[in-house]
Amino acid sequence: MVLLAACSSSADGAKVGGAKVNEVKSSGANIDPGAAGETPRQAELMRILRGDCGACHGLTRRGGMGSPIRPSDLVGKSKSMLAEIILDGVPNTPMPPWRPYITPDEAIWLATVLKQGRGLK
Amino acid sequence: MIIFTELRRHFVSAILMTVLWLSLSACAATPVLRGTGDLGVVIERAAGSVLIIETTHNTRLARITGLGDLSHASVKFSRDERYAYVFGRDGGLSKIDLLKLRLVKRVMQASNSIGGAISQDGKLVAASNYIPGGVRIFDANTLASVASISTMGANGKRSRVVGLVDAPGERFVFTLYDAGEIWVADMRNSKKPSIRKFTNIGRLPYDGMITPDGHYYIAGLFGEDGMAKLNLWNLDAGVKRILKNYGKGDLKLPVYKMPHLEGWTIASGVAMFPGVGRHEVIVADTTSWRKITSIKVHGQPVFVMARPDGRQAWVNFAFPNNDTVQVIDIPTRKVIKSLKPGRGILHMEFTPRGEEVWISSRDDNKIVVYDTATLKKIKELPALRPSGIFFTDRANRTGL
Repeated sequence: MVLLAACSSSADGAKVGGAKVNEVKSSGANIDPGAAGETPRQAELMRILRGDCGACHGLTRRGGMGSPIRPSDLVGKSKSMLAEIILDGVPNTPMPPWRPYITPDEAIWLATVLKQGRGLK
Repeated sequence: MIIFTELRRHFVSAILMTVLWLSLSACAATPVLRGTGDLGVVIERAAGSVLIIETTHNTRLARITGLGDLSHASVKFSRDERYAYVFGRDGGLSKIDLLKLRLVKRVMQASNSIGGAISQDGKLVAASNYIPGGVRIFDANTLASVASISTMGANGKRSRVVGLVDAPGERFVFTLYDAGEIWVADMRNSKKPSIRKFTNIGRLPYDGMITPDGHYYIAGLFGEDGMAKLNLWNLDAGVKRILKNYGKGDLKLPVYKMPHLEGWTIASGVAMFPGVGRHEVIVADTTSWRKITSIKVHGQPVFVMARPDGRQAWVNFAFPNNDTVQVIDIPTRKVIKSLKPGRGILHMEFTPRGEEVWISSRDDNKIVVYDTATLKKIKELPALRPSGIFFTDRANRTGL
């Protein structure tokens, strides 16, 4: 009886199908790697880079539907050339023009981020 | 007497041992039995983890970590709804036990992957890949490699693969993005798939879907108007172009997120799907496959998902309108509600009978649960950059 009672109390809310439930922690993972000293807008651009660019180019920028855009993939491509692609897109491909949402200065800043591989884990 | 006493002592201890054994086994071997029909998996794209959730009390049961790059990850379920197969962007294929709440097996099957499927009989799992392209087939039980299909297009180039689905007759159907082809792989001899190829289906097919009855496979085209339809009951009829003229002449907007066809709504004889580069949901007749009308919506639709009874469709949108979800009443084809569940809405999933819909808000790190009858929020659950939400009842649906 003691054993049964001990068993049922240990099962109280802590067991599912025989396995212990891992307590879900608030956040252990570094899901938003950012650099110190970023402005709020730069943090926003990094969020767009991970979320929206990442949908096609991958979180690790290794490409997919979009081209790979790691530093090694961008050798020989100037920042102004990359900024132009960000702003105006690539015709006849899914790469859209971001000019309505990103300024030319911000595009150069993003091109620098890509060339340096910043924000990659 | 001594013997009796001895016997009695043995007898008593035997009873005690039996009780002890029974309680231990009750504890360890069969503690709290449960089914898996109310379970689901939520992708946490940036953390490389998934949440296992249940929809009876709307709680989180566990987080499984270490699953790699999960941007654009998808999930399929074993036919007994016990195991979830997670297809990661980095080519990782992970098998998770939803009852024991743990990772069972993980293999790296490619370097860049986009989707997966499970065969009609549940014995094979297939993964479609960007790099090196192609489709790889695995034993669903062991994840051992069974076959590999290289996707060289008629143009002589290796092609990325999109729109991979299972089809009745132990087949996998998929689309070659770069080559513009649809391939049907017959897996009855699983080690040697027999492949039927359909070429020149149109430019840049970005995704494909199968109708819930397994009759038609339809690929959406990014490079031109219209869609490519293949009748899986009569492959000899070949690929037919449908909805050729929809939106022709209209100015297309830049597309900030590719629409997904998986959630295509097919209900009451009509199909509803996202208009590419348009703030419209297209409504087409599923007999003639002609456009009936289009419904103006808040932005460019990404998913158009039918509630299981086919009475409502829930729509989410591409950047920069991805903070909104709209509900369409299918009989009247009108938007009846606009909701703001959070920022960066990526996916929606209905409970099996549709009384609830779960919505992921990537940028607010939460899952929002709505009552689909009152259209009111029931609950919010924390999640790390959540994207796809997948419930186990998908195990019983062709193409999901």
